[in-house]
Amino acid sequence: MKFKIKFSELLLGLGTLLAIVTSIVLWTFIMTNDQRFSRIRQTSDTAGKQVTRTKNTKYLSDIYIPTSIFGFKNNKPYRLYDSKNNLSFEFMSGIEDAKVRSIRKVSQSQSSYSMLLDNPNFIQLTYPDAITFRLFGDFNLKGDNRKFNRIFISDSNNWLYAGNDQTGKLYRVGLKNANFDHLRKYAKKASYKGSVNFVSLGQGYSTFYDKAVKFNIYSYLINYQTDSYFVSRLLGNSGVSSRINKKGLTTYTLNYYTRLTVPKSGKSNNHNYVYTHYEKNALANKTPNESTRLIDSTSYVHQVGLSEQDIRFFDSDDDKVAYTNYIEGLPVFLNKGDLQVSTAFGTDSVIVKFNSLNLQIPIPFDGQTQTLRPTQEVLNSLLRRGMRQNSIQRIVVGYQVEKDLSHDNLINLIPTYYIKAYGEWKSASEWEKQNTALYNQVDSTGKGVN
Amino acid sequence: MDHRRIEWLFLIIFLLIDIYLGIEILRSPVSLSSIDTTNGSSASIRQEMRADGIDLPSNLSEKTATSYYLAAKNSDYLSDKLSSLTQVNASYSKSQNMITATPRSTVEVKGNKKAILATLKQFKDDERNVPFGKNYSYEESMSSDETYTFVQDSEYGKIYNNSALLTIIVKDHKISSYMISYLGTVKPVRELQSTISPWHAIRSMYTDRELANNSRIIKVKLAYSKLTVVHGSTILLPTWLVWVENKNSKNISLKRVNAFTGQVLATNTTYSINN
Repeated sequence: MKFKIKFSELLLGLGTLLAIVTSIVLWTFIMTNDQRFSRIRQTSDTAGKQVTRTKNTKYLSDIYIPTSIFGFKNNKPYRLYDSKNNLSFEFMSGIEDAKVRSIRKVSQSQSSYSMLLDNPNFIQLTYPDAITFRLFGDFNLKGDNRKFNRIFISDSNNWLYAGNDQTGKLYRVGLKNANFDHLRKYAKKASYKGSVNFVSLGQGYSTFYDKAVKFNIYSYLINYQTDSYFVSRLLGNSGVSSRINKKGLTTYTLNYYTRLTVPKSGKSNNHNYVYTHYEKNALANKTPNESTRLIDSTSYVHQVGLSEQDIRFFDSDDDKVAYTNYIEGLPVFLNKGDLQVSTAFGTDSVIVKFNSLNLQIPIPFDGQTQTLRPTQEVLNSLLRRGMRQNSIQRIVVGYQVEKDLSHDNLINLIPTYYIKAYGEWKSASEWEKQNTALYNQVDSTGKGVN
Repeated sequence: MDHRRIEWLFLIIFLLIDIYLGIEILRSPVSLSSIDTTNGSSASIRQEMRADGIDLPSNLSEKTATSYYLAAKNSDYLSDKLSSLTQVNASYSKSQNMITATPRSTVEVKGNKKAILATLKQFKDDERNVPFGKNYSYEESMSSDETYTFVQDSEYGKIYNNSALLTIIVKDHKISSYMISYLGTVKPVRELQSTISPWHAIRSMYTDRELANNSRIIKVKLAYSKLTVVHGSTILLPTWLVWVENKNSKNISLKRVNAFTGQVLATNTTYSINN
């Protein structure tokens, strides 16, 4: 009997001890589990973002779209322009209801590729830089990371060629239900703006204008989103602290891991923002291939919250992807060669640089034009100034933003040659001011100047 | 004995605490994190709308469209036409850029709706009655038994603005008077661009709290709205026009969503439907 009492007392004691220990363990688990709290916060954040995101987010196929189109007249390629029908959209709507049947590599020779460039039987469309088949239209060709930047439209609606300027690889894409009849019709009627040559530079073929060529000058009423708009979009509304660094720039920080540096206010405001998000090693693992890198980068563009109406994919190097506004087929450069948004993925961080300029209201064209020199002349003058031919990666005609003196918020887009060399975009006149010897010296050591 | 009682009390209290903490761990984070915020937002927003008593048209498209920014040069187009209006007594208001006119001889408007519209069409298409009359199309949702509203049409689409409107007043089965404003010929300002889909426009209105509970979307249509006047030109932008009916008051209001950006435009007009 005595033993029985002792045994039940022992059980009671053990049970109580167990209950106390369990409650301590559970309580400690709750208090030390950040995820429990951060998950709640993250979920509500994403939900908030989703709401704002739905407002003006473009589909991937609107951002990754061909921006130039070329047709032939008397066996010479010309840049095509149609003020009424957007030829790039015609191409996209031509493949809207299509299905990709097959993608087959047909050639890998630079010589046959360059012959195809001069073949008048094809209409050519180019993306600003190479994209992957995963981002081709709305086909969602998952896992296809083969890159291309040029489309060749034949007389058939059942196939097209997709080519990679840099590697000379040519793919034959079999299609079902594609229809390029409208595109061909409009391309025939389009105005032929300047005869061109495709010249091989460091990053594929650039479009060279044979003769001096006229481009329209367009004007826009602009506005800028405020610092607080970007702070609230990128960092949220609580727990954000700010400090001013030595250069006088204000940086807003959230949890040490996320920060946003805003431009100086006043006259020296260049409207350039830098958003940095630290995530140890995570991004390197998250971005195993080109397609996911491009898609991830686009999601950061959405997150920034700029007006995406004219934003297109523009340039991609190793870990960097850049986007800019395209007006009438030409890219817009800001300040001295900045682009609207660029993302850089590092091993432990993502850096998103962006400019808050918004081309809000287009002003009717008033007949002003700008005549540009033949492209070869621009190249020659840069080479004369000591720039190395093999350092020149791309040459494009883009718009330089100039303030109009008649109105505070009015800007003019002046057509100008822009050159990508040593990994940087600058206008031709800006490159002419640079000390190219220094660039060459640094380039040969394999590091950038900045 | 007291010692035993205290031990029992401790056991029960701590068991209860354990149960509470256990439930707490299992509960909220799991359910929160399972909310699908990346995909299916379209479906969940539709569900939320339904819960808020918002009825959507069954054929609401999720397809994008294409459209332009348009511009019209501002000018006194109507005053130049006054002399050719030989069949009406017309007066021109420069401040409003509008002509008000009454027919010199009686124009009878009889029969069913179709017959009435045919008569009005014949009347407005005659340049001696209405300047630029052929450029206007009937808009039922803005009309009633006595007021027939026509909006200015262009090769790019219809323009819904007070500066591009023809209103014919019918009284006692006769055309009593009309008022017309005219924007001039419109031209694209830039190349063709893609717009958001009608569903996207409705979703923007809903997330911007521009859609009241217990309302019904009657119609969604792409048309041009006035954005601003710059350098002597009126700039028009494509908008999704959304006719929303309040289920209680039966009032219908017209809301406009910027078809490029999804922003809801500030101006809207409210009127009662009579037919």
